[in-house]
Amino acid sequence: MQNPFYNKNFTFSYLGITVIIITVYSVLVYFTLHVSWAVAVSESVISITLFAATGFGIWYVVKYNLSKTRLYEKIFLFIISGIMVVLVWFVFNMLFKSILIKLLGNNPGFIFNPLYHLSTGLFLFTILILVYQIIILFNKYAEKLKSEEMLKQNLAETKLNMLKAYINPHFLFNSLNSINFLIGTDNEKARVMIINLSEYFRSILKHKDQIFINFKEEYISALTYFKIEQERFGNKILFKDDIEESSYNSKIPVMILQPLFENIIKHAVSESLVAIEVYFKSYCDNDCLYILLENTYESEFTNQKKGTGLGLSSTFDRLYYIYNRRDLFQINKNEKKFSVLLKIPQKF
Amino acid sequence: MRILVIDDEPHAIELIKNYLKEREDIDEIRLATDGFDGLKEINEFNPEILFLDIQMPKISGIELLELIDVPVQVIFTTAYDEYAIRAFELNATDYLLKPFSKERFNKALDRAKSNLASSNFQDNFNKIVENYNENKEFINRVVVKSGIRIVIIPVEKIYCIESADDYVVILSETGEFVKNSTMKYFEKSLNPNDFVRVHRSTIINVNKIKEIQPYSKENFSIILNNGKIVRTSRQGIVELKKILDF
Repeated sequence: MQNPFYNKNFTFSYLGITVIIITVYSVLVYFTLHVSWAVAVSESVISITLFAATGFGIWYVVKYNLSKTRLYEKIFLFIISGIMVVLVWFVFNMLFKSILIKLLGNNPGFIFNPLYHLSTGLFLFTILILVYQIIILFNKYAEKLKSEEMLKQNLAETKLNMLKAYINPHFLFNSLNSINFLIGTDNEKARVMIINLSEYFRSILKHKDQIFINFKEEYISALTYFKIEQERFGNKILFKDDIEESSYNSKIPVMILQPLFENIIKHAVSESLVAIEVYFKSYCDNDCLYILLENTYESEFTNQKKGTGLGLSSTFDRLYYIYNRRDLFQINKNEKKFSVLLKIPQKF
Repeated sequence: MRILVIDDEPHAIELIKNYLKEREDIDEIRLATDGFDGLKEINEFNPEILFLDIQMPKISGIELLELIDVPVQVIFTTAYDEYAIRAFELNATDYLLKPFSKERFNKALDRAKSNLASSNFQDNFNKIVENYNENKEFINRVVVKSGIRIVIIPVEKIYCIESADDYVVILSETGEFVKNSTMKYFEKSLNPNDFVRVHRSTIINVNKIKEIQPYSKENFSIILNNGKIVRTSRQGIVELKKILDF
């Protein structure tokens, strides 16, 4: 957080409050210590101005204190810094008045009561710390509101993009073309494909307003998509999965798996002349659901730029927006295999 | 009529085969499931009409088009590819959007047939290729023919491209290839951050520069990693300075 003195409004308010405190303090000194107005005012101006100047530095103490997490550390730091600030202030205060007395030639009645000054200083220090703490809290709150707003906006945006991607026209029209062929040739297969296509689109519409979904439902939806593609590409996809029973009830962001499967179709299956092996595995460990999706690919000629999976970056973004973590998505690639590993926190 | 169908999806091929079966003016049908196979068939079978899908493994229908140098009626088939459709609208004999009806299919075939009769061939597919690539992101591979072989050159393996009459010569890590294309096309289609036209007749890959030496007052010689020496023009050096920041 920036020093609030960079903010003009804050600096002016600070100066204004200083003037107010000087006035109040003068009155207080005049009535409690029964000195002349001149002494009360000069005493107040010297003390408060000096303290106000020290106040600039106290900000950094407060800020540094933010980085400490343990309560006793915070308290210890405040006590130490408080004693130091008050002592420095006290010494300067005394020094300043001594010089003034020297210059004037006599003591008009300045106060040299250490106990009085130290308690005043401590009081002012506490007030200032509190003010800073309030500013920090307020800033944090404002920042939180802002980031929540941004997160919401990003979620809405990704959701829109997701919907667009889901109703992927290339996929839809190619599937319809397949059905067009299957009708009359293999009616049973045509029927299965129509049912799968309907189920897939229905599941998208059903969950489009959700953020989380049961893993089981999400997996079935992605699998329905994949089955349609398997039918389209004939024997070009060899699929195997290994689902740990316990993962079924895990929570997972909705529509997160399908793009991973689609990526395989786009970059491995439709770019290959040979069959592609696809392996899906899921298991739970340490309050996390792990999902591994692995596929073989033909490295020869495969476009390097295409192969890095631009489509996968949106998966990474979504996980980041939802969990605010960057370590949930991993891509591994070697000569023959491409794999993605998703880590879905179950408690956060 | 001799017909060749190139598509990577078995159902799509079978559908066209079924539609063709019901016609009586077809002499022979050949099928290919990828561009390599397709090009081989074009050379051996010499089809009159070609049904060509766009999205295919290894080489796309558009890239295949660049390699065809025999007269053939091409009917494009695609499910959804806005770039292709825009390019076709301007230049193709006909194109079929999947899924297509038997009537629509027959109409396209009849049009191709009447073109055949009047020997009205698309003699130049370059327009389609250019229109297609213009709207797309920069190309990242170049497909060339070398004898009967088809070679795919990733652009990062290209040293430079030189013009030679109606052709361009591509010097790459995998060898020297001739392609029936223009400097203008490459200048537009290659990423300008990597490829600079340093001279009217030369485009170089800036990542393959070994040295730049002053040659005369305003001209430079560029030595590429393969030892090739390239001269620059005044405009060329200005462009190069912009990219390399020297």
